[in-house]
Amino acid sequence: MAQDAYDVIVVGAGPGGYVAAIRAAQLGQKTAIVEREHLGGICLNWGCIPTKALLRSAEILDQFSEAKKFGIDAEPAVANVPAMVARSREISAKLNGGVAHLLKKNKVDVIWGEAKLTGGGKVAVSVSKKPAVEPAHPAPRATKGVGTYNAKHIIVATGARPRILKGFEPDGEIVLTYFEAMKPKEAPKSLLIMGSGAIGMEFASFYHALGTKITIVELLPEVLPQEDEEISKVVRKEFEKRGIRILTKTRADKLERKNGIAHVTLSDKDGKQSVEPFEKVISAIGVVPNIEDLGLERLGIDIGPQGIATNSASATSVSGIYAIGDVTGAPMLAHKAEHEAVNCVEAIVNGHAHSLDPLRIPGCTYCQPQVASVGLTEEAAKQAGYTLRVGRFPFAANGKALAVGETVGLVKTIFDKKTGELLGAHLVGPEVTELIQGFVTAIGHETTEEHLMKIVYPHPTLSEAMHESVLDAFEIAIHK
Amino acid sequence: MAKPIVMPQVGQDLTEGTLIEWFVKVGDEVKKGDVVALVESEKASFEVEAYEEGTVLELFCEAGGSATVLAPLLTLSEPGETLDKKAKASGSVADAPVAKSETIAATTSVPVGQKASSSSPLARRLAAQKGLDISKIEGTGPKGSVVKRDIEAAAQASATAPAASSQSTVAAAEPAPTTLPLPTSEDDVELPFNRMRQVIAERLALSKRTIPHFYLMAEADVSDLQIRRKAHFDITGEKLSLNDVIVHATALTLLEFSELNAFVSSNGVLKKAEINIGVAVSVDDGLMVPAIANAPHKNISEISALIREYAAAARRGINKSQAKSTFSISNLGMYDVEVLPIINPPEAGILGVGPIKRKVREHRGGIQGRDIMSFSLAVDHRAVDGAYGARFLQSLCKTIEAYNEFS
Repeated sequence: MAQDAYDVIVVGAGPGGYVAAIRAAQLGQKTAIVEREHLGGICLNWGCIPTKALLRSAEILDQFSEAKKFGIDAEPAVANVPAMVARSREISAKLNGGVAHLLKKNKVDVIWGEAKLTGGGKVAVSVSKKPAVEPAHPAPRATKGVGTYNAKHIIVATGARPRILKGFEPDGEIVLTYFEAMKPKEAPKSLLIMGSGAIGMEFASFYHALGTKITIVELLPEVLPQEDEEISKVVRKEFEKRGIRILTKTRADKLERKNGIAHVTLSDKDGKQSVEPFEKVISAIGVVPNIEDLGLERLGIDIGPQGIATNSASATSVSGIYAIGDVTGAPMLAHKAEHEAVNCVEAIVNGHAHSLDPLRIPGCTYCQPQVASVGLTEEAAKQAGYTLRVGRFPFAANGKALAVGETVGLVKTIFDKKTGELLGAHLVGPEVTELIQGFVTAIGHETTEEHLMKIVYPHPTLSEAMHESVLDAFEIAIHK
Repeated sequence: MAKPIVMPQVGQDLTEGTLIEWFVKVGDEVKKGDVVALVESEKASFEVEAYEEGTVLELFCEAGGSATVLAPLLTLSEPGETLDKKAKASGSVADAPVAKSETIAATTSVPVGQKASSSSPLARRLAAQKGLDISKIEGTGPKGSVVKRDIEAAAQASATAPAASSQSTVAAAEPAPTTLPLPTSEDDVELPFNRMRQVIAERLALSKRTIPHFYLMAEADVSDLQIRRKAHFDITGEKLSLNDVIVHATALTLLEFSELNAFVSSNGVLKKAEINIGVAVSVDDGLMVPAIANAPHKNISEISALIREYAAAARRGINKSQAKSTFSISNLGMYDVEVLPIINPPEAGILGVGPIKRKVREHRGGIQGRDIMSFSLAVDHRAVDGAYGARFLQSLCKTIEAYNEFS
């Protein structure tokens, strides 16, 4: 059989995969990418981007309800849910098309179908068995199809999918994953959200703005369990103030579908059970890597507890095969995948990679109020044996925050008392997902408190709270 | 982007130095660590090393000319870049000065003439706290900059090294050194010894504890010597420093005073056949004493060349000299101070060299301003008594005053 030979074949066209393919092509590699469903992966089809579009609708809706506070008399605003979803899908479609354009521009061949690694640098592509999530964006034109392809280097970037809890299998009607939760026809009256990670908390914010009565169940003691506890508590307080019910240390045990709604058995930390009715249930208890049916086991590729095991250059245990992004495990973030993509390809082509320190990867959650963080939490830093200096500055004392009417939240900074190293930064409040990059840069350049104190922050901005937080850690904050 | 190599900081408060010799020309390929030029201050010569690789694009100074400290001496292209392409890239009037000043700003923060690379603020602070010389640490960050992990790796390496070395040094039998007291305030800074400081600490503590030092001081009138030295330069172009002369003169004097060229122990004295003069070189955070082997039988030019080579290597942390010194010289005259040095065990003595001062002296029946150089001699009293030491020092001063072995 005639075979196409490539330098690099990337399996999966999510934010890790397509970035790897483009970088490989930029470096002069003959490159192809295999995709079975949608260019851009979950991120820009069913994840990061469309949810941000929905959340923006929710935010504007919320702002309408506060118009009077800003001296504006307006008719009560009404949510048009199908229009919100349509806008979200349009933005997704635009980016999906953008990826197709970028791949074409960089002369990356797109192979449409499902890939299997068959050894000896071969990738067998067959027709996808997975039904596409509807509404699907059209497949790109001029793709290659079913066949066997050869490559010197194969990069596995197959991503992850929602974790399914037994008894709570999604049905698309009552029990939803993020796929269905992202395209509601109307706002349900009541909603149970299982899991208070970023996905759960963002959907809680969105549906709450639409008027849905929300209950969040979380097994762990606090919402956003990966974040600094102090930050999580601020979010929890805000959510509860708005009427969102939060049940921590609580487990969803059982689900019964009756009369078109869910009856969920919840048990609290003492084991006390109660059965409650919910119109819909969103299962957001995490994601699992897509490692099945790729032929990995047969090739002897090591699989770790979180996904495919890789080294700092994303190489797997089998020479010539690499893995990047969610399929390699936490943190399952698009920007981690993109970073690994470039690093992996540069290691393949140039022979050297830089190591990616997980403590320097920021995380952002776009619920209201927003949460953003980088580095160690206070608890983790203490456990690591550091003596700390912790600074806090509330947005309530920041001029710009007052002016825009967004005073909830704070900037928390954590320093090693001995060396002045910025160990972590944890923010909750207005636009903190944009602010965090300042601290990411600082940590990336290994700045100490001295440099953070000496740089100029523009006035009036929210970023001044970052400066004050640093000053506060050393007890010299001006406005506190 | 063209990468400049700058004129190193050749003296304490010097703003310029002399470029003695180029070892490269435009178009030469240069590797990291290659010596590209020899530069000189009033007191000493330095090799300038390339700390990156590339092709020499331009030399900014002629041999014999003077160069401003930290100003570029030459520029290198990126490896693989062709000369033509480079000329275009750096020839643009708009961006060239900016690029230059940027690079200079970046280099001034690290000791120049060593491995010049950048470092993160955290790395610099950690290095200071751990007492590590950051300029000697290999960087693994962007563009080879030294980052936290490099300091941690170096700290780990130096934590294991002193333990190993203490077993092999003479100090092993000595009582354990007192431990560092715990910091009492958070502003206290703990600086554990690195490997080199550990060795210095052990050797010199041993010297002070076990060697009964006595000190002798003398002066030499070097006015005439200075004239001869200058005349030699004017005729031959060869620059020989006073330090070169002192090393040679000391070696020649030791031929006659052989009891000072000895290794001393508590049981006796081992008179050494070879006279190897150790020259103390101040390096970052420490001291090295490379030895000029068989110095009385070398001529002054050979000695001068060796000192230059050894001193430059020492500043890179390398001891190029194979020989073990039998008598040492410590010269701090360039700082305008007198010195009473500590004997480098197991040697029997050490010469301290002070500054040259213009002093009023009686000379040939009149009163004149003369160039007077001061010397001190530390002697192990177990090996040699006062009168012998005094005669040696007197003879040495006479040898220096009359020195005329310029070839």
